[in-house]
Amino acid sequence: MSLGRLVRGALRSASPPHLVVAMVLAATGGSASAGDLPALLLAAARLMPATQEGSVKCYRLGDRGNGPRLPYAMGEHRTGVAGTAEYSASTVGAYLGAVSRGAPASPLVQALVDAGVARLIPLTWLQHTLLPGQHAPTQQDVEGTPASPRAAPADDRITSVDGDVFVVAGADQRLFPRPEPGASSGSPPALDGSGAGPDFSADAQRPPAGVWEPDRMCFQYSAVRILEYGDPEQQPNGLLTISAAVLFQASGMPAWAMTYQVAAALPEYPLPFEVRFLSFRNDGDGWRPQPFGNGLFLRGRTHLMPGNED
Amino acid sequence: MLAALAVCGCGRSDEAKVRAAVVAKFPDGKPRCLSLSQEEVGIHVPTFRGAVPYYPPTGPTSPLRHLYVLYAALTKAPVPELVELLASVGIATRTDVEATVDLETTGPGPLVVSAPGWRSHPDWFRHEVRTRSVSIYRVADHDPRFAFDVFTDARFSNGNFPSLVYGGPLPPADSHYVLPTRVPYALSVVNAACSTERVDAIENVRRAALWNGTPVVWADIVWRQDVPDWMRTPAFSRAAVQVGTEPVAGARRVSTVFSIAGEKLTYVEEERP
Repeated sequence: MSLGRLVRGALRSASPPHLVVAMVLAATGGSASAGDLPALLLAAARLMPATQEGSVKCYRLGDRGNGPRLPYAMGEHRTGVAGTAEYSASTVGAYLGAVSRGAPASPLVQALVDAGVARLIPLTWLQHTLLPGQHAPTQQDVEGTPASPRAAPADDRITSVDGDVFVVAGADQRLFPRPEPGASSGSPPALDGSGAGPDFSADAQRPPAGVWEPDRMCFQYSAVRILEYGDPEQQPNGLLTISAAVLFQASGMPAWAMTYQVAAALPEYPLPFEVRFLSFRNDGDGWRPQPFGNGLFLRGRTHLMPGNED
Repeated sequence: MLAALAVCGCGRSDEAKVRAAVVAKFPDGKPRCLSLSQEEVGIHVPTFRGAVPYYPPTGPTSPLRHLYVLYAALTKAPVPELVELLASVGIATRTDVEATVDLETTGPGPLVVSAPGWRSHPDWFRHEVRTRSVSIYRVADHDPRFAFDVFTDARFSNGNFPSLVYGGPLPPADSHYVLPTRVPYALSVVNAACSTERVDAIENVRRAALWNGTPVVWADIVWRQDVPDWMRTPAFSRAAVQVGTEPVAGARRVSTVFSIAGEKLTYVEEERP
């Protein structure tokens, strides 16, 4: 047995992700109790609003995030799916793409399906094709050339294709928020009206209101510990500022988020912890977080919290 | 004469003020640093056919560490004499860590005819995992005997110590994969050796005015350098690269300017040579 094979075996049998994280965290010591200032800064870091580079961090799903879409389901205006019990106007969840029946899903979607996060919903697409020469008469036709025999709309071709959509429902859907207004994103397949028979009018074709196509995956991070902080600096305007390296930990990151399938599909890999450089400001009424922090304070004389030694 | 003295204010009190200003500026003495050759210090861990090794996520290479490095290289590589010297006198401590190298080989596979007219050579992948021993020579956190380059972004440092923060099963060996790594959040690499200068004498205190009339005080300060024994070795002289300066000066006299605020003097700067 070669050395590489041995190492690979050892890595394969390594502890699961949360144990590795616990190992990393435990190796750097306990809680902050070296003084009053770190505790104050930690309390201030927890005030970081979610809108700033604070508690919520999102990872773009990228091109490979959403599954390959049905080619005819994409641009065709008059294509809809027949509603089923699982995909109807009352469905709520994040839509992760569609594939033809039996086609493989993207690695990320497959990983989510394997983890029981995404649900595969079989659907039937109905495509309404206006046959050439049989379209409805236009104004030019009416005024110009003599009328030619036309077929009734009932003679238009309606083809059906079977496929599957992937929808994340339940508690995990909060990890896939709706896209920001203005963000480019696809749309889930439209239902072809309701009632008896397909209705291909544009007004009738709408995706379920509760289904959206996400473009990112978001996790909640919270400040856990101050690792290092600099000396308070007096700004020319008299205010005090201070910078610190703060350990942030993700709360409620599921195990499936740390698999190599997810790693392969996401442009940036989500990790259960992060070190961020924050700066704080004191106007005389306590420390408050500031939006832009950097690591320049590390050049000066800093205070390392216990845990930086072996 | 008395009137002139009163206007000038010169005398012993000015020397005491200068001394107070210098002490206020440099309470722990004035650091005087000599750059060290980048071949003698720094991170010299090679990449292996483009593959970056990764390190254990605990101990000195933990991503939650601020690591202070004097020198790092493969254990089997020869150690520079300055590093050897500093390790022998106890200033640097050596830690051996195991670096894992994941070498991925790829190439075009055999011809595949999937449909008439469609031919492809699908990629094949092969992973080869090896380990190497890397020696990291570290110094104390904020060691005042050194000056550091601080890196918080691994892209700009000469090298770093990524650790594999991933505990799940590895992907199949015949697939292309990139596993997530994190580097220590801060990395301080020694770039200069510092010794402390203390005021030996203050001479020739005189008042003057700048071109715009601002009154200042000039003084010649004689600095005496506390040179440790390891800086007096040939190994250190070879490693220190300071252009136009004696590596280790015993004492130097430099004109220094002080600004005046009321009765207090404030250190401004030395006269440039």
